[in-house]
Amino acid sequence: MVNLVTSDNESFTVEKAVASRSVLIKNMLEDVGESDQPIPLPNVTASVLKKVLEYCDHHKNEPMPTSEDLAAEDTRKRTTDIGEWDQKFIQVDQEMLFEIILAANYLDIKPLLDVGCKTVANMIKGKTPEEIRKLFNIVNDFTPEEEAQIKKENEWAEDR
Amino acid sequence: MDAIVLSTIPHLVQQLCERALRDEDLGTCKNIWKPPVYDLHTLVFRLPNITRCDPLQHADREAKILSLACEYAVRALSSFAKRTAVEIRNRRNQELPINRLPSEILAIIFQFVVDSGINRVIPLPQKAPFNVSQVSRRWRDVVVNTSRLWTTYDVTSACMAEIIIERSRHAPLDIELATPFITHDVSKDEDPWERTPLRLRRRPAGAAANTNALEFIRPVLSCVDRWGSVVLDGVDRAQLEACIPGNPAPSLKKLHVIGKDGLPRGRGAVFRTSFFNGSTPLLRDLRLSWIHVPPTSSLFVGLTSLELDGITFNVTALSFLRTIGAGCPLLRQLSLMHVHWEPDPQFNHRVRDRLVLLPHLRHMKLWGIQGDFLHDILSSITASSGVHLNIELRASSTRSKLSDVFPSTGVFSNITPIRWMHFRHHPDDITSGDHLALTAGDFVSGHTLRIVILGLGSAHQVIPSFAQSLPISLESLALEAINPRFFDTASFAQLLADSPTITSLTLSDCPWSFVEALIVRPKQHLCPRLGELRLQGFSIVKKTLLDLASSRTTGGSQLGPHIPGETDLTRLVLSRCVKLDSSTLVALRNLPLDVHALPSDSHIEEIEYSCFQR
Repeated sequence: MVNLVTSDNESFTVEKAVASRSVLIKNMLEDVGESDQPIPLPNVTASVLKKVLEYCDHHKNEPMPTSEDLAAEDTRKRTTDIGEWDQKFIQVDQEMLFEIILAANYLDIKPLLDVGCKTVANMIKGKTPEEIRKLFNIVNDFTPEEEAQIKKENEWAEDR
Repeated sequence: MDAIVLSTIPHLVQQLCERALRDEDLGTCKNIWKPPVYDLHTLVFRLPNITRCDPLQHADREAKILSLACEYAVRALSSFAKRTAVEIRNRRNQELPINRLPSEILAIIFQFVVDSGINRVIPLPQKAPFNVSQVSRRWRDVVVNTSRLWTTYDVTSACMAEIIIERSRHAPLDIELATPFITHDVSKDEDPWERTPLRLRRRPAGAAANTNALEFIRPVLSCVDRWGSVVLDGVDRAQLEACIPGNPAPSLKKLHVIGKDGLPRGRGAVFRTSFFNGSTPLLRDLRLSWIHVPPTSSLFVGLTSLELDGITFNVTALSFLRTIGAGCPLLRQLSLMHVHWEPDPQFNHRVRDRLVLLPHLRHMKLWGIQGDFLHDILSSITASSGVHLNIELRASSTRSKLSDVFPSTGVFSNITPIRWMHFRHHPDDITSGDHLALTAGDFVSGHTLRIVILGLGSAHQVIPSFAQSLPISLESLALEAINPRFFDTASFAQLLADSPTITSLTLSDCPWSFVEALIVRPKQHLCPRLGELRLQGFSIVKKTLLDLASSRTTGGSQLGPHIPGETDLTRLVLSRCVKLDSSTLVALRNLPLDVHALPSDSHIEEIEYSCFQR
């Protein structure tokens, strides 16, 4: 078992197979060897780690992506398809969604990072800039010069 | 002037805003902040009379300068207000949850959007990366500086060619003159067999069909060295000559050219042999449809995926395969559809010389190939044991017996024995008449085999032929919608007699006589290892079913010679069966038999094969 301590000082004791879905933790465990020392995760809060561990537990028996898999992904077009369980898992509010993505990035859990990024991509795709702004509560913060450039690009597209 | 407003206005506005902040109810400020009324008696605005002109002239000048200076001050104030508002909005955006994501993660998200299929068909304002580049300053900064997001040059983005070329920097360009409905660009995860042939698809009256290919390609002709992939769909010969330049394409990995359906097929229509000055060192994925390129072309070198459709070659199939085998030893996917070669009268005399080694071949698709050519190809190629074969053949296109088309040598000599087979009859398809589909495979290497015979006549007893010519060691057999015209009960019994290793049998919408044949009798014990029987779409004859179940279970009456030590029937699945009354079910359940009567609206899952007992 592995003991993980979050930024808000909460402890989680989990199976090694679950914790090792995180390449960061896996490498730490390999570097330190067998130890009872808790692993501090200063960038992850308890509520987020709980979700991340739920994901890791569900996927603990799946093969880890190899370096060849990762290299192949760089060269091919990626789909935004998400598995059924993952879709349900990632149905959280936006704040939690981005926190999960950040945690997956920090903990180096590539499949979870992909699920999070695909979810955001699915929210964005096919939408106009204004619709995207509305979705994420973003306001238009372009300078007048940038506005003029964007206007020119749009006119260009319309004219041809 | 600038120095004065730059120092004064921010200070003035800062003071005013801080004062306003102290007001308790900010919402009403707009109304209570009335412009001050200046007392003319105390106003001391005077400009020095530097030129010592007369007082009247000086007063006019004072008024003019006052007007100009105030106008300038108002503009400066307005500019400051706009800039400051932008800065505040920018600061506000930075506090949003989504903007906590670092730029590299935003870039990953945008890449997913760019790569998604829907992105190819939507109008430019909704199309990535254009839409995301116009959301906010930060997003624009990420998008504009991520060159990989700008590599797709297609019909909807062609008007932005200059921007794409500039922002993609040195990244290879993906050029695509096509609509997604008629391209077959599947990701590596998808089953390439699921690609529907072009001839079966309607060409939509979309942008690609109306776009002049040369006009489309002209803006990117100057950067051929950056072409990474090119898909040109619906081009005619003249357009193609102009679109494919004579310069080397050192980055080109994929080339798909789909000619217009009307391009001539004859020998005289052979296209030139040299493309890109013969220099495409990275080309791995080539697809040519209705474009007649001789196999000596430099394009047929180093490929891992080759797809040809609607092409006539002036060489024999064997000669063609040898050229491909020599030029593309790492070929993983070969798809030949409606391809013709020169007849080879000497073929059978050179058995020893004819093997073409393609050890890495994983997918081979042969559609619309004449029976004789099909035989030549299948008997010439040796591929890996896990190869996936997909064959579609029109029964009338072969002069010999169908079984002779599928030789036991070549491809079939190397695959592991087939463990599961699923035959399905598709009656009277509108375009092709009756056809029979065989799907088969093993459970070990994962190879699969799909053979579709189109335009089947009653004289074609193909199911027994397959069983005889293919390497089988059947464990699971499924027959669906089988018509007794070309597979009668005697043939069914013979197939089972030849396949004593079957443990799971599925019969769906077949003749009831097939079920009767399964009853164990003193002189007939088909499928002695049968453990599971799945019946779907039958009108049940109670006595036959009970006799069958009894004869195959140890607890049943001894209708036939139940052989001790051999597997009993332990599982019976009944689906969509009529006349299946409760008394029949009770009688079946009194036997040592696991009986599953599925609800009337459900179907047997995974009808192709059953992993029962595995």
